[in-house]
Amino acid sequence: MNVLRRKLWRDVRRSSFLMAAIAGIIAVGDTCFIAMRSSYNNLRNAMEDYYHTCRMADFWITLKRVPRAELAARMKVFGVQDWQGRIETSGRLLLAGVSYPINARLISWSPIDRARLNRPLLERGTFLTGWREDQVMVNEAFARAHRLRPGDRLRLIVRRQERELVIAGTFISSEFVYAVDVGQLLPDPRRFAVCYVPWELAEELADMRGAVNQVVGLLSKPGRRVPETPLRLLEERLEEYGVLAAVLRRQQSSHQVLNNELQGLRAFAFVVPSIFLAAAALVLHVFLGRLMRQQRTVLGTLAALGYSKGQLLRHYLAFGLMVGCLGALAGSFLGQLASWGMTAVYRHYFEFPRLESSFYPSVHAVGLVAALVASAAGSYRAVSQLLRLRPAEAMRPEPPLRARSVWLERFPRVWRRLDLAWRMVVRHLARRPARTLTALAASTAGASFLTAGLMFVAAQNFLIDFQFHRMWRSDVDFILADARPEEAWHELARLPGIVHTEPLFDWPCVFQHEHRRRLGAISCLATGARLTIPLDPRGRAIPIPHSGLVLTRKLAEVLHVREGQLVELVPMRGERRAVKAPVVRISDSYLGMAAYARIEYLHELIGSSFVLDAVQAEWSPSHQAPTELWKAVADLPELQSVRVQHDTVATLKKTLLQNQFVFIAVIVTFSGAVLFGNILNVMFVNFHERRREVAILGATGYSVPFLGKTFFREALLVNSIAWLIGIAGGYGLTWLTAVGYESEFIRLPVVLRWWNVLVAGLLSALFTAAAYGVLFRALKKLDLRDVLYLRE
Amino acid sequence: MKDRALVRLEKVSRVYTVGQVPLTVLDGVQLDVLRGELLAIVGPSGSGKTTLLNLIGGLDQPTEGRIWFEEESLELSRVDAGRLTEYRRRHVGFVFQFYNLVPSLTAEENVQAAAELVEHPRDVQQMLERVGLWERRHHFPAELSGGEQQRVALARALVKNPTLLLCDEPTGALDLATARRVLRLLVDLHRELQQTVVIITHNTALCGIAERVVHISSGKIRDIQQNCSPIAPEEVVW
Repeated sequence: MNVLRRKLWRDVRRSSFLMAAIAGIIAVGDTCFIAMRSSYNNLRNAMEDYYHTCRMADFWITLKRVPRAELAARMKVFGVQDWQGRIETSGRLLLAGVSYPINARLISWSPIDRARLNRPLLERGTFLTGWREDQVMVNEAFARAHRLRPGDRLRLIVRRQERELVIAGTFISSEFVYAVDVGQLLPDPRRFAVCYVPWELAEELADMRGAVNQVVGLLSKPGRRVPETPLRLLEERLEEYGVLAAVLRRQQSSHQVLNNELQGLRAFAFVVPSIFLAAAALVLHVFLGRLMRQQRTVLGTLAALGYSKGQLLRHYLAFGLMVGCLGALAGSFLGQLASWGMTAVYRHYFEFPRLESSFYPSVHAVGLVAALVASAAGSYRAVSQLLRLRPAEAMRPEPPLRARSVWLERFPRVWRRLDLAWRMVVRHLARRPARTLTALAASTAGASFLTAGLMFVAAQNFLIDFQFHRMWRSDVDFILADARPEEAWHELARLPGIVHTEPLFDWPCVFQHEHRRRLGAISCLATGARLTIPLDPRGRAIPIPHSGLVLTRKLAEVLHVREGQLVELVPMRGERRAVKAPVVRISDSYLGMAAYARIEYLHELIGSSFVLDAVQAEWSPSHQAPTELWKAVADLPELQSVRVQHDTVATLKKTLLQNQFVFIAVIVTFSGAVLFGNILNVMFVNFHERRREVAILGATGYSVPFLGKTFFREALLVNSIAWLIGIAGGYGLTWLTAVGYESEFIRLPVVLRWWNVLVAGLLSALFTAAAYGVLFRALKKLDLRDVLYLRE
Repeated sequence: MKDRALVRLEKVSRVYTVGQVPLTVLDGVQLDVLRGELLAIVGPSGSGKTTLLNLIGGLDQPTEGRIWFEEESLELSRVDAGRLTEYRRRHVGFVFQFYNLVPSLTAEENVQAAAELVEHPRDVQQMLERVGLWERRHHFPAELSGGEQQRVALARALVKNPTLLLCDEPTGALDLATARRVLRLLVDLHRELQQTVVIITHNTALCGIAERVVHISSGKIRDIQQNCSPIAPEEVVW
């Protein structure tokens, strides 16, 4: 082995602990990159394969009713490659032994051309056959949640009609990779099912004889270039049949969630590792700067012996690159493990036929290159600075730093109050401003990441509180099969355990402002409603105006409409006569887009009598397990579905809480790697440089705790300032995340809670103390004679 | 043969800037280092000896004047850093007052580190045996005494078979008895290998072993003496 290489190994062994700490930071960066990028590839590959195999549609048009015979002529639009009409409706399922309500999305199944688009994949049993009308296919997740098998029976209620059906088979579908009911955040396969029912049965249940109410379609290559154009043309051509919604794949709810996750993974796979690798580069710079100064004479001697600058540069750069390699190797291993874990979690939320966790050599190669680039960048400046010296100069010991007073000394009142240890701390930090700033920057990166992580947890809690405790406050929502007069409300109010009810009327319409238009619905509430309360950004209730609308911020942004302006509303039901209504207030919401109005105001506006299509209810606190209520509900055929908000919130909280524990553990470990590694490095660098000073003080009679105090305070000061800057940094990161993740489906609140600041500060102090513990041991082991009689 | 200059210094000056103040360390030095001689440069602390040695050894370059390495007609004062490195690698061996051994390498490896730099080095084992340290070849510098470290440094300097051996206060950190052993080795190796040796020292007692003595003070050469009958290292007394 080359002698220089042998020297390298021995020097590395001597500094192995610090190098391992820095490699740890790089490993964290690479772990994040490999885990997220591999998971991204896993998800994307699974999605692309699945979509391709199942011929996932490019658009969905939901209509009131269109005769099948008319459809072929209407769908002849340039850019549309294939299409299929189908009947989609919703209903309720009743299962033996299950008391709570189960909502179902029903899709018609044609025995002739089956599902040509969004083709379901059979998991168990058989597809539906043309000759039996009492069959149903249910999605696999629902079947698994209830341990249902082909041959089992269930009852289906749609629009006052009840059928008993036999399960023919179970399936998974590309349309329902993320299968959630309307208004839900997380999939709950116990309470929500997707079913394929025979065509004739669907026609009968939805009252769609000879007609369909949904068209799904594939676009040709030219059509995909600007998909909005063929969709707009189709909307125009189908307008007379009452287009209720026309969405492209990117707006389809399941795909939108999946796509959001993919976008987030891709962005985070770049941003998060960059923060860690930049921090590692800074820490490495400080470490190698010290090493180079320590080896200044050796370097001069090697140059005097005849080693070229190139050879020496390579030799010392190898330190940094070794750290990079070590970190990358650990990162590759941990990242691969984490990607398996993440993909396993995704399997829980997303239903794919095959979601495999693969090994991507290119991802690992990029991780390695990124780690090497970061370590080379961190090392190069420290090494090249010293290599610029002439050998004769390098062989002389480094001139001592010029002692000078620091700016704080200009304030004698403050300065006099500082004890000796604090004065030393301030002077040491001021004497090496570049190092202080570098250490501060690295710690700030760690503190920002920690704060952002804690803020993310706070944001989740805030979102649940805002949406489900303060805005949507009902325990259960009864959705009626169609609009009904006031009596239906009173009937539901009499259900057992129900203590308060409010009527709700969802009025689908197209919102239009200037040239912007958006399909949506107005939620019409009763005067003084307290089960749905629009809120302003500060969480204060906005009273439903006597006349006019309240729009959520996202909808107002999409329409570019401000308070006081008029919006045009084109109804999607009945006569399609447009009306205008003023926007009175803009409310805040983090889930979906909504508009609110007083129920009587809307009926006046559209000239109809009082009707409602849903009832929100609050149940008695003593009815925590409302079996009686569910029994009564099961006998109400006019109900289309029942949304149990109470259970939704409970499930959501439970799931988020479980995830939050893991999330917090990961955030603390990762940020701890930076805060601990950086501060340990800075402490040891200072310790090595000030060994003589420490030894002299020790010989003078100062105790080890006193000697350690200066190092501890120095580190604590740096980490405390980093913590304060990190609050702003964390806020910035969270804001960027919120902007990056924002969609029409979900918006992430940016909230900073006092406990975020406190926990980040405490953890930062804890990591400082841990690093000090390591230094304290070294201080105790220091042999004063060795240092005092050390030859310069 | 000995009359031919190996290194020629013509009106060489070296000025350092300390803060805002220029400090002239060498001022118009004119000197020939002759091939095969044992030359001592003597002067008090701060007289410019080490700077002069650094200039001869290609560790530094003058601010004024010219330095020639006559064997290759190489102007050391003008060449770039790469050529200077090449010059040091092929022609110069250094021995420093505080040995400057690489602490993380053993005695043998320290010598090997220099041997690896040249195409035809001397045998590492032979050199360590010559300085009497083959038995201790696996020891790290911290495990060797000062005299032993300096002998390793000498072996390291000579293993490259340099044209010029430059010793900066080679006995400065040693006691008299150890210093005599190191000087004996230096003189014997000089004779055996016919190498040009330059010793710089503030200790006039060492002048006796040199063939020529240059007296330097305040950056100027004050006198050059020819020593026709050098004394044996064992006769050196201080």
